[in-house]
Amino acid sequence: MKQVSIGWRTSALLAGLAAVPVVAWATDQNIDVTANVPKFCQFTSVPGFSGTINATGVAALGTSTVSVDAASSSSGVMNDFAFTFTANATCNTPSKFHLTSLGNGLKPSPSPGIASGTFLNHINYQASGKWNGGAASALTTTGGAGPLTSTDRLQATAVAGQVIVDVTAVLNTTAPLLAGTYTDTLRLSLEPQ
Amino acid sequence: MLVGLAFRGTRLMPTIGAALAFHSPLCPAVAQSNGASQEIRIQATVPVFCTLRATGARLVISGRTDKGEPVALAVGSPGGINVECNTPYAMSLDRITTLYSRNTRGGVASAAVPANGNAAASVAQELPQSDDRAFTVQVALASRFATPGSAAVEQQCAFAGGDDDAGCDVIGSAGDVTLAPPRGRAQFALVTPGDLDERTISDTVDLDEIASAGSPAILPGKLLGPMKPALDKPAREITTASLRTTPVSPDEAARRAAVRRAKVISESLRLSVSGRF
Repeated sequence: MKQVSIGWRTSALLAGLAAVPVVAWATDQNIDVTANVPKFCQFTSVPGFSGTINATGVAALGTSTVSVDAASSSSGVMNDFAFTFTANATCNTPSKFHLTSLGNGLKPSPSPGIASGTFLNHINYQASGKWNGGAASALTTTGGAGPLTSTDRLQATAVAGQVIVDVTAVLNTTAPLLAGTYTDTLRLSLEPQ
Repeated sequence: MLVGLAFRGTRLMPTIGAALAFHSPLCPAVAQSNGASQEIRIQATVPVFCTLRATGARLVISGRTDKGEPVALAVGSPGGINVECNTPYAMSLDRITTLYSRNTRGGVASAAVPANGNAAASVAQELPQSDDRAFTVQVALASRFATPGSAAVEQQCAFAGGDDDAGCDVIGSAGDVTLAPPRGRAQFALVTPGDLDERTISDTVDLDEIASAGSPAILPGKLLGPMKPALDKPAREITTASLRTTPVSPDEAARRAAVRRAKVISESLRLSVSGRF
């Protein structure tokens, strides 16, 4: 094997290669963008009352108030009352809807004692609500221990719609009512699924 | 509302994470659970009332004066008065006897002023004096219910009695009377007008309650002398209240006669009921 000396030329070639642009590797850079939007339901506007019978409603976002105008006759016999409550709401995911009577009926506080005779110490009512036209979720208070919650009704899709709740008194005229101010809170709940 | 954005690089680059937090104007009222609720506070006020109902009360005359004439009054059983108040109330019974006064030649109410502040004379009647006519018991039982601002409901029946007991249905046909807030008061009176002659004020009047409903007595005891203070009671329905007179013994009658002797020109029993409004 003939041995050729290329000492200085090799050095020059290497020097020349170093001066020429060379693409050694190509690579990609991925950026994964993730946005996590939580599920939510919300009531979006001030609700309203309609169809009131012997009742006056003051609507507000959050807590509304209904006052029964004449809860009883002058001799304590319960009077009828009714109203319809409507609120706009939005859920960005499937949701469920139910009603809760915190007191399980209107009750006086404090409740006066009864020495004898028969008096009623609570006012019952029936509440039936629908979320975006779905199946009704209803409850009827009994005057027992609260709270009392109606059956969950599912809404299978995200929706912006109306919650409509009809409330009617459960008339009981079998005995007079004890004097006092009776209260209860009816809660409408929307929960994302 | 929190929105998290995460950037993850390749294996050649270190992971870059960033979290951005901001409030969404779309979700001002969403609770932490992201559910929503709307509450309806329902309130109703039941006013106070007290109602008196008669249950066929019958006036019964019994007893005798110190001269031997029967004059005592009673509302005998069966019957009575139902008192129904849907709130704690005060109840009192007082006896109002209007005596003939030689000084004034008129009626002087002798009973204590009841708790409601009305003078006894508001019920008792001043009757003309008569001379020594033959004694005749003429009894009128007046049921009178009045509420402030409204006309009184009044009914009377009168009859003549003697040795025989006599009855007079009253009150019942007057219908129920309801006392309206802010303050109500009801009263009924048993009035004995006429010439009852001079006699000793010796009858005692008890108010008790027929135990048909197992209720305790409402105002036990005798009501001569100062009126018992009104008692606060919880809301209740008194099934039956009855009035009765209790004749005193001859010795006691004589003793009292020595103490006080006057001409009775009217007598009333007044039941006052007032709710605490």
